[in-house]
Amino acid sequence: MADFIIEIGTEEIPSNMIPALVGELEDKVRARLAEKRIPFEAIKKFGAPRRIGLCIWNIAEKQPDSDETLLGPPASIAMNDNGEWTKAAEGFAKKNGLKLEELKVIEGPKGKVVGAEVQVKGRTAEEILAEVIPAAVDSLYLPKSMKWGDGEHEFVRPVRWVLALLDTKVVPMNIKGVEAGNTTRGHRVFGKEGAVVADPTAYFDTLKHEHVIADIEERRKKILRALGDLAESVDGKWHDDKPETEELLKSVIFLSEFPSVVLGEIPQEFLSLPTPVLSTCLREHQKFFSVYKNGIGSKHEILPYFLAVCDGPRTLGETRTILEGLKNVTIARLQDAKFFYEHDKAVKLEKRLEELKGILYHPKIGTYYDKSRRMERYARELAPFFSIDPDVAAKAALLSKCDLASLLVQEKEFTSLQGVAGGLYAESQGEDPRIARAISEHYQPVMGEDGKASPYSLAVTVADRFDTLIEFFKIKETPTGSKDPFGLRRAGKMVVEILADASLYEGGAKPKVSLEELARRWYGKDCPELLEFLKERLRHFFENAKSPDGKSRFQYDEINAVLATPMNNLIDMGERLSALNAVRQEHREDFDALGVAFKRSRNILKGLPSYRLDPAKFLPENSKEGVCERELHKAYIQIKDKAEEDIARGEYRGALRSIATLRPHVDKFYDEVLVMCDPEGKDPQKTAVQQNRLALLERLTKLFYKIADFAEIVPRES
Amino acid sequence: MITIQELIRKMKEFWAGEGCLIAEPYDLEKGAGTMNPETFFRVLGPKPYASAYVEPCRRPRDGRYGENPQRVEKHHQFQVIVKPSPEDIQEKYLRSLEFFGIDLKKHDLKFEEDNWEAPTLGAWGVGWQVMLDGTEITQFTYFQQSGGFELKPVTVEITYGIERLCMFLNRIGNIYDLHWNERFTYGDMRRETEKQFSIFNYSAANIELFGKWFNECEAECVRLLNNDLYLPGYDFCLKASHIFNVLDARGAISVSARQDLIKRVRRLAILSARKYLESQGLVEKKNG
Repeated sequence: MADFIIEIGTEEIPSNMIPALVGELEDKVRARLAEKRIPFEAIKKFGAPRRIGLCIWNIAEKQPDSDETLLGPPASIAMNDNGEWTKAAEGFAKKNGLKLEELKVIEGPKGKVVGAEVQVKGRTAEEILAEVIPAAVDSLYLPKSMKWGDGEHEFVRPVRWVLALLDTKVVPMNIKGVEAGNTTRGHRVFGKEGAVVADPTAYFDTLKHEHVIADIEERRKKILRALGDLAESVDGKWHDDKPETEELLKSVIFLSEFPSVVLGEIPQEFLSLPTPVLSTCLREHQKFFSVYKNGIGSKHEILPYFLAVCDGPRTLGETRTILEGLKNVTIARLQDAKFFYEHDKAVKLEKRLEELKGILYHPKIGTYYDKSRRMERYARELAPFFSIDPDVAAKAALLSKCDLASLLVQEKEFTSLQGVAGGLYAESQGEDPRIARAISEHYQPVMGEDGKASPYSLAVTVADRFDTLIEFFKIKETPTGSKDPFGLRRAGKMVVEILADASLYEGGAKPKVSLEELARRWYGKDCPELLEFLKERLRHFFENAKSPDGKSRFQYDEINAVLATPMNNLIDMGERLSALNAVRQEHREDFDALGVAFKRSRNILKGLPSYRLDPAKFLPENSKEGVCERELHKAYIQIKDKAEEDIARGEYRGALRSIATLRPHVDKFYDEVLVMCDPEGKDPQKTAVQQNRLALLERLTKLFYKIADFAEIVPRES
Repeated sequence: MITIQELIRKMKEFWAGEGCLIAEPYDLEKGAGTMNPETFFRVLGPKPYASAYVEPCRRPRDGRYGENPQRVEKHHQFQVIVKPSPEDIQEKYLRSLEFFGIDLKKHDLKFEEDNWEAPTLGAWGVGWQVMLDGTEITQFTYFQQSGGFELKPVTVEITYGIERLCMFLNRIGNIYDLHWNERFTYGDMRRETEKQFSIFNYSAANIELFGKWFNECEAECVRLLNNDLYLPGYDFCLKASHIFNVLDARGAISVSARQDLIKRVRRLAILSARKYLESQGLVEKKNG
């Protein structure tokens, strides 16, 4: 057993690429070592701005030996009529280092050939690593690659050194034109070049001595600890539970080789800026964390501090110098932000509407002005479903994109404030608070302190995303495979989640909106592709629903059964699915059997017209068939009214329990009765009996189709 | 206090010591040192080259009437290009900072990804913005393509923002407080210019005239290039590019027209590069 390390030393790799690169490197090396049948105990990946690599602990010194059959030329050429080996056989033996005595005739896939059974010595780990590592590096996916120097090699950034050690020995290999050696490089400023690494186990300590923490997790912990301590020192916290803050953390871990954190102050005059503007400015311009007042709640009140992650070990005096510099830049940035914000605040949002005519949404779709006008209409039409004031909803939608024309949002660093900025301007201009909130949240509705989303925000969000879907489906720019350049899947997901997630409306009005009807009305006609697309999003939504134990809540066939009904009210679909799932668990066998029976009915009924049900036409009770069909009909009549009533009242469980009682009658019917008793239609009397039976099956199917298509239920194997 | 002119002297001294030819600015308006023919043409083709020069850069949209402490319509770059890029170019660069008087151990240094792209030049590169205590002091770029042509060998371009660096060195937050030499401040030298050119760029420039000039420069550029005069031809490409920037600042370009104008300037740049490569016998002859 031996340990191995590969470190690829580079110029600074973009921080967001390092995790993916080392992750993929590990996967590729693992796969290749498995292919080469060389065992090892563990792989540890590491990465920092100037290095990516792997440690492979306890790798076998060589592959196991193996038996192989070598195949040569056909026996007809390799052996003469006297059974002696010919020149061809001698050539084959020589090429493979075999003696003539070792050759024999072997039945190969294409007939008899000369060949030999040989034992192949396993190759050494050194040989295999020298082959596998450069190949794995060459196969890495590079989202953006570059060339340097003479332009012969391509990688994410220039490769400047390679460390490759198997225990104490250098494994000769060439990566991107650089020969491997036994040295690494320390921190750019605080470490030395050419630090010798004794063996793989010494790597991390050697580097730490040179002021580099190569271990990703260790850097992460160091940063987290320092952020926490410093925030606490001013009675604050640094995390605001926002994804952007998480992203920033991920990025700073890979922006320094030896992180240290400093706490700086923000001049009081900038605290008049709204928190989102202030924290976005610090984050996007400077990669700083903001500090918030301690306490729970969705509101994050900012404190006049920032936290910056620096690279290198620091003494107090140096920290002061750095902070002075950081503060200078920060003030300049904040001055810009303040200028933009104050300027924008003075321009009424409505006045910006005209400017939207000059901002293109998509060349084939038109400007943001056009989009705003459509959204205005959609929000108005959605208002009744959300039980909200149509005028207020329409105005919120109309103004929601106006901040795109503001100075602030047009700055690259503040584009992420789209919506939020508009909300702030609306608020400061005395706009209706419902409108301000909807503008602010229409990219991502937020739960209020009451734990509920604002229905105005939800309506404007749906109007926005639905418009996006309709317009891109109109110009046929729809997602294919992994390509979804306009984020339509995300938009569809948002629409479906808002319209299907009953928990958003707890205690409030649930929208009674028909998705199919909206799509038809806004698209101008039926668009099956759009409906199919939305159905897939809804399927994902149901599939992702979890029960309290963390498992998927619904079975796939239950989802299929509900999705086979029209996509009208999505919350109602969810309720039907829950009921089906629950009642099915009580009556498993009944539902499995009904699933089979309904599938049979569906197949029989396919393509046939509706017939009139006439109880007088059932066969008399003196026949077995007559008994069965009459019993089924009776059972149907018994439950019909109550089931319909239950369905109308949304009491799906009751309705489903009724259907479960039908099972023995349905089973018996199919066991005893031949529905298609006159397939050729030759005997008018029999034809009437057949049509009557079809009519009964159709009634049964239709009764429950309002809940789900039971033909989709697949019996469980148990 | 290190003055602007002293910093420039040190920059020249350092890079001359590294074997760079010290060139002078090109006498036409431009937005970046990259557009100087010294870079634009020299990065093309296989011949090794190394030069360094100061380049005054005009960016009409950055004008703030001489009132913003950090944004100006015209600033100065110190441009270094080396082809092929040497193995230790980052280390050389860091030594240059020390040579200007920066003790790197006392500051926070980061190379943050920043890929440079100049759509009007058909050029892009990969590299970083070098951050010192949060201030961007340099653009560091490995040129990958210029004038629409792949570059091999690869040129490295180091662009120092002279004012930024000088502000950093002196711990000064306001550009106008810098000293050009011992007697004159940056404000003495530049504030009035900033004011007048901001007025010019944002409100006084004659839109009609500039629009006409754009078309004329474009036509003249193509005519000259098709006569294989790539140097004078490229001058008109630079002029068209600057005219575009003025019109843009002047608010005279609509969203849809903007893309079209950028495309037209790029066409001129690509044809200029092509004519240069033709003259070197590196590509087949073809007129635009």
